[in-house]
Amino acid sequence: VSPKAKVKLAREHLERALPAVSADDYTEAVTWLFAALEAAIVAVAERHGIDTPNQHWKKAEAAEKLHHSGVLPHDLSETLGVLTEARKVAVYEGDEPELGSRSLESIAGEVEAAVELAEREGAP
Amino acid sequence: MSASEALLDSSPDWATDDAWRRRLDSDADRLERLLPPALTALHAELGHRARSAGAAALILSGSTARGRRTAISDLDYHLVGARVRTNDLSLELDVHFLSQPQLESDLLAGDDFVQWSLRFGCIVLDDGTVRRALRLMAERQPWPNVERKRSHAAKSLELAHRFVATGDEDGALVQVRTALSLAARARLLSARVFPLSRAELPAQLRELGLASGAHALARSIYDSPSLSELADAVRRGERLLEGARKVAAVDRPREDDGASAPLH
Repeated sequence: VSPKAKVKLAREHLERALPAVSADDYTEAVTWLFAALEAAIVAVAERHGIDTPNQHWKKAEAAEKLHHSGVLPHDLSETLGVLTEARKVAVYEGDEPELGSRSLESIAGEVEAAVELAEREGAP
Repeated sequence: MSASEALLDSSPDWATDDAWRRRLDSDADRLERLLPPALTALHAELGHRARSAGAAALILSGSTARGRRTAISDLDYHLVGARVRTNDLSLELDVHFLSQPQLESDLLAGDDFVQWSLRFGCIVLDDGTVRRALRLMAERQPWPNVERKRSHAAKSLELAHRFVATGDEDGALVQVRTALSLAARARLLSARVFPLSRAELPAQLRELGLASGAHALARSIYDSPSLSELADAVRRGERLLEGARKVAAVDRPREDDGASAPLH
């Protein structure tokens, strides 16, 4: 297996997440949604010369910067935070994560919008 | 004296008011020593919010409390009480909220993270809840649920296997690290060794003669392994888990045999 471009990975991870979202399979859904959103943010950040080290909170900081500079219409750092927490609860503790006022479907919608934006940004 | 040693001590720190005061003072000193300067403001803000919300207890947990932070370490806490707002603070912060009854039930049900915080955590504030929980833990000596940990690790390894196949190096590294940490914890618990912080797990595995699993986990913590190395790491994790199954089958702790379990 060879490493792939982040924008392509973002779309592929989203496609993996969507059936799990429909099936309410929290562990699968939040794992792949988290990966899709991270990949989309990194793809956009790279395009705008923002470094994204491997710590998950640095990617949230990059999302915040991209929002403040007008590249991202919404601040995706909060969604990334919700997914980070949800992933930990689902994977480490095996419990159903709390998503606050959100649903898996609404989060998937936000991630899909981020992936589409990353694809537009990456288009020649 | 560490929390785990205190549990076995003939005069444990929860037993008298004086000893408890010394424990709280000692934890305050540890906090000052162990907290990186860049995180002191974040810590102070969480402490302030917890106090303002009337939290029963706040414990600094994880690698920071052990003085073993790595570049990827979060700042972990257990907060006993009502949820406080944290979504406007750095994502480096990872707060696990529990009610008082939940603390006791999770402790006795074999939740290893709650037990971890009570054994090794730094007490930031306590209205008597942590002290009571420590007494309960010393009296009942519950051992974490190995089977549950093994089951989470198995699921996580299977997910890691699929992640590696996607070609996402960064995502696969996160998932492989998670899965190996879970497998290591399951393996150690099955051998009646209480797992320490993530950075300390490789040394604990080596002490059990599990050098290959230890190496794979250490690589996932400190380096950037290639996808083929990560695929190999998943196989090593599966072997660790296989070992956990064998040990657990021979020496599976019963729910009520915690009283004879040694504390490590």
